[in-house]
Amino acid sequence: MSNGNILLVWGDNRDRRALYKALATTGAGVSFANDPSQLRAGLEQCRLVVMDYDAVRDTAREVLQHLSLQPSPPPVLVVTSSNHKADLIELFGHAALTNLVAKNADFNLNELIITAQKVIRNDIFGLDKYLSWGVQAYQYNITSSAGRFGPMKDLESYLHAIGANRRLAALAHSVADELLMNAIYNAPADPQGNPKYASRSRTEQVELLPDETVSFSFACDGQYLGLCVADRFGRLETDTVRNYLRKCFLQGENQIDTKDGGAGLGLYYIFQSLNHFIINVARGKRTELIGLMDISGSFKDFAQRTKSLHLFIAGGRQQ
Amino acid sequence: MQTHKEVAAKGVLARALAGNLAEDFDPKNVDPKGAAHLILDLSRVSGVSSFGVREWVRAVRESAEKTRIWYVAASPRMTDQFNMIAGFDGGGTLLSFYGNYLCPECNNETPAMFDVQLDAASFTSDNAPVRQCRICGRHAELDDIPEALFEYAGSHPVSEVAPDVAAFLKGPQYWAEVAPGDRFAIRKLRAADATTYDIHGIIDVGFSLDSVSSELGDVVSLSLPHVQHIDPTSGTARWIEVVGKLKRDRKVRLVAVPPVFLRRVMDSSAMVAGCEISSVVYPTKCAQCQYKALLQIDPRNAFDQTTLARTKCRNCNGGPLLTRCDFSDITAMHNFVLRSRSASVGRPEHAAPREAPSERQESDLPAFLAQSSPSRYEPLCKIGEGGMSDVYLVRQHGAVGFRRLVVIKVIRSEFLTDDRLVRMFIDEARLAARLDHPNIIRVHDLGRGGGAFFMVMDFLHGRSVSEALFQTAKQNVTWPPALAATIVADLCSALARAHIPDASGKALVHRDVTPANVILRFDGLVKLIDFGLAGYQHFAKDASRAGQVVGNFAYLAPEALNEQEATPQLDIWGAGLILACLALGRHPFKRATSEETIIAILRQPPNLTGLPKELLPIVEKSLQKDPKLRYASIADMGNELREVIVEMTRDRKSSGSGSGLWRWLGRKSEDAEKPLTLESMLRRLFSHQIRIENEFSRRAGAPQFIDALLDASPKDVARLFRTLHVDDATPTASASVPPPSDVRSLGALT
Repeated sequence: MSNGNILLVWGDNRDRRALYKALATTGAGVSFANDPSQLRAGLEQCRLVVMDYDAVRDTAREVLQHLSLQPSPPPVLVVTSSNHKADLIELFGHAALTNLVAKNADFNLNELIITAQKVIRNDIFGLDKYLSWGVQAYQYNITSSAGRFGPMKDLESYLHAIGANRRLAALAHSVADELLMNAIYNAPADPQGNPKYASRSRTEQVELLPDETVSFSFACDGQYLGLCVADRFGRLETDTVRNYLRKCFLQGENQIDTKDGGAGLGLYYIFQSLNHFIINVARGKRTELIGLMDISGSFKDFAQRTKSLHLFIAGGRQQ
Repeated sequence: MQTHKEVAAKGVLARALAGNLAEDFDPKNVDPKGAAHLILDLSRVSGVSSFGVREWVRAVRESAEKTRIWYVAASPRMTDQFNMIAGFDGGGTLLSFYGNYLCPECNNETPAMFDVQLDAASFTSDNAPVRQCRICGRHAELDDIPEALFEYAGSHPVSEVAPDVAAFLKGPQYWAEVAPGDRFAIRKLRAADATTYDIHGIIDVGFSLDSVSSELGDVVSLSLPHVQHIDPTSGTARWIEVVGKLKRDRKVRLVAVPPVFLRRVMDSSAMVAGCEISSVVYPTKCAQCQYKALLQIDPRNAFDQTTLARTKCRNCNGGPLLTRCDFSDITAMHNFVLRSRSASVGRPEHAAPREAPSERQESDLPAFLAQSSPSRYEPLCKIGEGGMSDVYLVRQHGAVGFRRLVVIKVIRSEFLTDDRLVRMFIDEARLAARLDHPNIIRVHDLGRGGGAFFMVMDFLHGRSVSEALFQTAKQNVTWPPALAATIVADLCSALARAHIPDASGKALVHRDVTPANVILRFDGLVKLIDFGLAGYQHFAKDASRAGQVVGNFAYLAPEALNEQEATPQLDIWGAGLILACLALGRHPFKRATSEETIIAILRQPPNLTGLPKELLPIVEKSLQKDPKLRYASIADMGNELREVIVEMTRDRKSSGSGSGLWRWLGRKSEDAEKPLTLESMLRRLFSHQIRIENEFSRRAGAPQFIDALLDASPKDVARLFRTLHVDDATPTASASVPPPSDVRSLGALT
């Protein structure tokens, strides 16, 4: 029955039982680490580490530092109740961090279950995992930079038709544009792995080759609007994502890239405009960026909801 | 993104940008073209991409090397960029930006502009300013997280706007109806005998018609469809005050009254008392083409579904029209208007031509006072009027020939239907009656007659500090510092009594300590009056106490302007400000416009140049923006003042204020040895009144003026007060303090 082990480092004993039940549904064994020795022993075997950052902050820092020195560490899901800039900057500084949930009052265990299932079953791709069963997505294949405008117009009409808050609709439109620009200009690479269009000005039109086609889909289940953009290169690195986000949150002099190509703000804009940002990568094969926005309420409701970032690498371990 | 509109004038180039800020952004959009100031209106920028942001930052940085950039009316998406991207401003200054409000009732999104200067306190307190839904008029909520929305604005305060830029934004070339730095805008249209004001924006503490109040016709129409919000406390009170003045001798007509206004009227019917509502407007949309419009309705007609069904859409000529909020909401408002209208029809003063105040004073005596049994209160004449009440001089009769003069304050009949105002009136009497102190006016009784409430108080034979300030300005003298300190020390003593905590540990805060509310009796006694806005410390903001915050905004403390909780430190501010006004002969925060004065109170230090050095530390401490930095108690301030008075009395130079004052007082130099009293100062300041009163007493054969009043006929008393009133109205150009018309004259008890 056991598909590996999930190691839980959690402070509140009352939560442990609920967490145990939820995570055990994945078919994995769930073990708790109560002291550093148990922790070190558990890390060797486990396929996912789940940590309560608020309650065991020092231990969590220690674990993240320890794992960052490992050649092939397991994915680490950190749950915190803070989404303050300073905390996010610190967390994005840990190389071992793959999944971050900044929980709020609406937080439920589904997100943990989906995350654990994706890791344990090594089945990471697909927007459908995050939406209610049976929701039909609108799908497009995009073959040029100018080709993104049609689907984006459709998205705009769709959001208007379902009565989404105007500001949220504008954000969704921006996120789709950023995701598509990233997939069209940054992802394609030659056989040696050198980027093909990344250094081009974004005003310069790009025609994609047939094997560079980008897929774009969107769907809504009444609560979440899901946006999904996939390319066929699998070049996005978890370090790149964390470092860009950290740099942007720091709001320093180098927040905006001045080199040719992108501004280095796209991932930051996307993260800031979503409730859940999921990056699935099969190295050299496929990168899938999924954005989820809770459009069921007002903009304020959206802004107050749980926020998360998930980086999944096909194969489970990070290297 | 492209340039939507561009105007250049006197070294200022203003440009409105529109569209998406994307990778194709053209730096020419922020080219100053040689102008010293570049104003960028960002209200129409709808979308932003990361690539556009990079181009933007590059371009504005370059422009900022050649010009000074001012950003106005930033759209929510652009505001996000200021918050998220370091250096997005390129060194320019953000003056105003939009946030979205959401109505919890009708789910309508209403954009509202925040001014980086005027709303600064909200940015740091994370309490978003209150706004109304434009559709149904109810309370709308900020649809954002305050600390996120206000992050940039809170950390980039604007202390001063370049004069050319400020002038341009207020000038006719600028396209927005309400410029940054203003809460509201008024357009005045004059046609024959009627004057129409088109009012835009927010009605709050700074609302005024002063700038356009000359050459008014006999009929004044106030066109209201562009009113966005009326502050439930300061806005309501200010409206009643401003329109109250207008309607005294004019017919006031309200045109195209929107739900935003009607909702406030439903809370406080005094807002429309004595006004004619010519038309109301309700937001509608066409069921066929979704075209949104305001439907104008004559309030004499009923409003129901058939009204909507009958009306064709202006856009497609189809229909039917639908209301954009709950239909029952609209009908409730409309029925309210119908009732108010019928209640106001037939009020003689509406249709009456201008009448002299003297004629009104005698005709307006409340009948119930004369009929009170057995003539206990004998009304003599009306001696003043305030926003919601009239004040009468009355002879009180008792057993075995007992008589005395009292003043009776009567709530006006048009406000009797407003439970809120009636409650305020009763509260005022209740609170003041609890305070027994020689420097606080005594309230003897609260009565009811002819359906009206009235309050019986001491008659104070004297004048307010406000009137005294006016007279000193008119006669070009200043108050001797020791006398100014004495007046305020007595005021502190009165306030210290009010601040003594009650059984529940709460202090009574007066909240309206202004020169108009401090009376200087001619015998030298100082009296604090008007507890109409008073409340216990830390009372919660309560909509039912609407209209209490504002007495005179120029005397409100920063925390009162920000509608924070009232503490005794609020009164310390008022006392400090009165001391500064007396000692300087001018208001230390006074600026050219109401808005500028408010900004000065909120953000700038007081101008205390010329203040005697002995009083400087006391004034500075009492006028600290942060209430915690003021005196811990008003008693401490009073004690310090008394110590200073003793020092100043020892040093005759400062107690006398120089030979000019002595000459003015008509005293000989050898008299300089004697201390100058408040009584002698008042007798000189109001010598004309004293002369008239003495003559009145002489003719009546009475030893004292009060004795003469006790014996005189009501007709003679009315004539006397009319004479004194005319004397007050003499205009002057040199006054730098509010003229008596702004404050209460002899009827300082309204």
